[in-house]
Amino acid sequence: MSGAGDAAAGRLEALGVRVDGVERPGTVEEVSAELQRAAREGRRVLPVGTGAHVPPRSLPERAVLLVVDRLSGIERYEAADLTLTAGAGTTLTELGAALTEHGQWLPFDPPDVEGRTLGGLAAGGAGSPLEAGYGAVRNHVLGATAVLGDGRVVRLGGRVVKNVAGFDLLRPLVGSGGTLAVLTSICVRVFPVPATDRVLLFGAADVDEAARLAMALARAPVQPASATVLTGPALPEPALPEVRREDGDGAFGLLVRLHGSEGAVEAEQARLEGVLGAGSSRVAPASVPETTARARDRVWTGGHGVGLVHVLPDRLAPALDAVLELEGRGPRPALVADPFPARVRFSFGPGHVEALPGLRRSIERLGGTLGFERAPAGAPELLAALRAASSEPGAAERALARRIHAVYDPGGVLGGATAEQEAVA
Amino acid sequence: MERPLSSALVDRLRRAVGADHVIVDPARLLVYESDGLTQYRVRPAAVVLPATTEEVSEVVRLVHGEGIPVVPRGAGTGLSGGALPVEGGVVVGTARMSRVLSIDPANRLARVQPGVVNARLSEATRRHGLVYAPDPSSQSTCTLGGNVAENSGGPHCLKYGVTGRYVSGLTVVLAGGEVVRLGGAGRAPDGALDLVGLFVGSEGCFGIATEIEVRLLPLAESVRTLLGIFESVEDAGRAVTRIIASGLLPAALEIVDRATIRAVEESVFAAGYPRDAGAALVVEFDGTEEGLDADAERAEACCREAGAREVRRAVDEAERAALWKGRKKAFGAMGRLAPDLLVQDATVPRTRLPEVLAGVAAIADRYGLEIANVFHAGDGNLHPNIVFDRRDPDELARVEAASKEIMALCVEAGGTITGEHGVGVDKRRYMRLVHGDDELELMRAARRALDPEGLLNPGKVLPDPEEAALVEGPATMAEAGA
Repeated sequence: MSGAGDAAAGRLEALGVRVDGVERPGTVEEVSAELQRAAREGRRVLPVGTGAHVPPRSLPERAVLLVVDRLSGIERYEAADLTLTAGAGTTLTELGAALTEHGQWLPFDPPDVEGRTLGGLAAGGAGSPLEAGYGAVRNHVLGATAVLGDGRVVRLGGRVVKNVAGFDLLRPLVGSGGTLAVLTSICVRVFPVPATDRVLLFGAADVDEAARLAMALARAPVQPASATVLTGPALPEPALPEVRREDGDGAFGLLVRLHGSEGAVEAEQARLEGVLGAGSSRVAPASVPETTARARDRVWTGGHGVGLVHVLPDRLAPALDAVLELEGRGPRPALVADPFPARVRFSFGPGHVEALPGLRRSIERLGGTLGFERAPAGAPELLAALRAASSEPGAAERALARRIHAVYDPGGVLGGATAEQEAVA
Repeated sequence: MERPLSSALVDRLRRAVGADHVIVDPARLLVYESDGLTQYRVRPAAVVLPATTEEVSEVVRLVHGEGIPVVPRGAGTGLSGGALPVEGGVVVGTARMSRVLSIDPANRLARVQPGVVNARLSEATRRHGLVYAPDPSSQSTCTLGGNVAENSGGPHCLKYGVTGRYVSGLTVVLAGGEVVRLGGAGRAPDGALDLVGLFVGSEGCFGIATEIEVRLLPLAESVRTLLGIFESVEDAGRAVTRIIASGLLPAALEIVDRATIRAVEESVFAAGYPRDAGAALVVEFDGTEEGLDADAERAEACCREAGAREVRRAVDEAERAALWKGRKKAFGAMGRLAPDLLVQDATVPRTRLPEVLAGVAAIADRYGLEIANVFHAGDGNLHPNIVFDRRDPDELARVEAASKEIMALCVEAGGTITGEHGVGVDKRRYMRLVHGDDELELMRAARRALDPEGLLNPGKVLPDPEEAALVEGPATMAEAGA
């Protein structure tokens, strides 16, 4: 084993996964050989980058870990074409450094972005606030080399932005949690760094006002790169102390990020202050990446697990209320919420766990869904309890998903079909 | 040889959708013999026009039960033969499914039937300050159902992305008539796969979309449009590279070449482009008013640095329309050059455009053909347009050979065989240029999983397994038109 393998195994074992072994393939052929071997031996394989961001829904009871950290490095970077191809195990930190040299970047900012790999980002499809301005990860993954459950190596998509040459079998891989295939190399679209990148913080007295600000922002004549509602524990500190109330944790804020030319950003800031109230706004004094990352990551690092709510934007306020009701079961959860598309991330501690099935029902009554982005210890039991609490429709869609899983992973080595069957059961 | 449907099946179809909406009269079926790629023509056994999801489901169930192929069809504007009927098959048209079902301004969503014309949706949402971004050149006639099937693009997809980015939910009728709802905004069920993404671009082979939920965007506040005039298409291409390298992200970057300019200026669509120009580049920015002049000035500087002999800037909507006219009317103008026009479609990495265009010109010379280029330069999406007369067998053969070489050239440059028109029937024979056996088998497996009998839009997208050679497919234009 190795440092990286040990660390990944440790993380997964802490979540209750029995690790039957760790493999660290160095080539796509080795990935293929490992999957073929697993298929012959009837073993379940869990592909991971660092093992730090495996979605709980992908967690098996036991598996061989396939750590792809050795499939690392930039394979092709065409700055003038705004495309980059890299090994799945390449960290986003490494990619960021290379892109910065050319005035470019990847506009994805899920929690703990620096600790993620490109493969993990694509396979997990983690949502991020910058989706408001740039679209989701799935829109920017142009191509990939992937190893199917039976070891076949396929090259899907390409390295051009527009490509409709055949069925889009790449798209379902993004966000599949590694249950369809093992991504070994990925081509993504990259973007020029905006000329001006500014963050504004608007204070709010309570959660309703924060949600109201978010909806007012949606109607304002601006096109924000991102917008995020924050609770006190997630507020960036000490960079933005002004909006913190005396009781600290009771404060709320709306963080708005503007991208564009200096003139456009100046104008949009003035308009936003006109719509949302200039008196409560502050321009973030710290550097933009630090400010936004600190706010975002407080949720990721601050709790026992991380929950993820999706609802329609106009149901953000009641969804926030429902999440904050967890407060009665423990400390107020740190919370960040993106209005477009509307999603709420919240940290929760051991005291909150019993209330999660009830929260799930509340969110489903709003037409939304509750999932988990980071598993707490004892994840399998929690997930089973939550499944029991779900009344979500969609049996036909799940049945269809099982058929698609069987196309990519006929033997169930990557576990997708099994997980889906369990969910239905 | 035509194979009519049994009278019993026709009766059942009439009961399902109403007698007026089942077409079996050979004269009326003529309209449905081809789509926008008129080189291929097959008369269907019947055309059925359902009005609701339930009617589509019933029609598909009835036809599937008889083992008869179904070909979905929107407005029939597709340029790859994706809606080409199958002999003895039934075309299911969405012409009567043309309602905008709901517009939800607070959530920036719309729900539509598949027969809604693309441009009509934005007209309906404009009063809410919202727009549906993907804008194929045929947007005044093409339907959203067709856009979903083809994952259509358009001039403004450089900034905004293609159809797939905007489709958040679908109701789909599967091959056997089963109705399934996929995705939907505001939901992300645990373990769910992106089946909406899988269906978008599946060219009617996986199911028929009967309701479509799309995301809308706020209308851009202002627009700036420039027209750069260049001595050569290479210079225009360099201007594009400079604009992108400078960090600007225009809403559109469109080039027309010398042959296209001449065709337009000699037609009723004359747009006032200089007839001796080698290329014209349309650059458009949209967004917040205050930043646009600065962006336009930087883009103008990029054009001049790349050798533009003139840069025009629109000062009002009428001038903007005039600058776009030469681009938007290009296909119509080419109609006067010859009886037939083949609008090719391929994508290459943007920086490879100049060498690929030079290669296309060399291919045209070698085959004695006239090829005029119109392209979405920002996306590297070329449309070499070949004018010809299909009644001339020798010229038709040269068109086919030149098309094959153009596809191979684009793939060699790191691109692909279609950027927005789809594979349809026309490009099946080129699929092996970009996909290996394992990739094609995976596509076949996906199709089998969703349509085990292979009755939904058969003969499209995938080459037959036994076809090994590049252009030895069963349906060359010459054969189909014979």
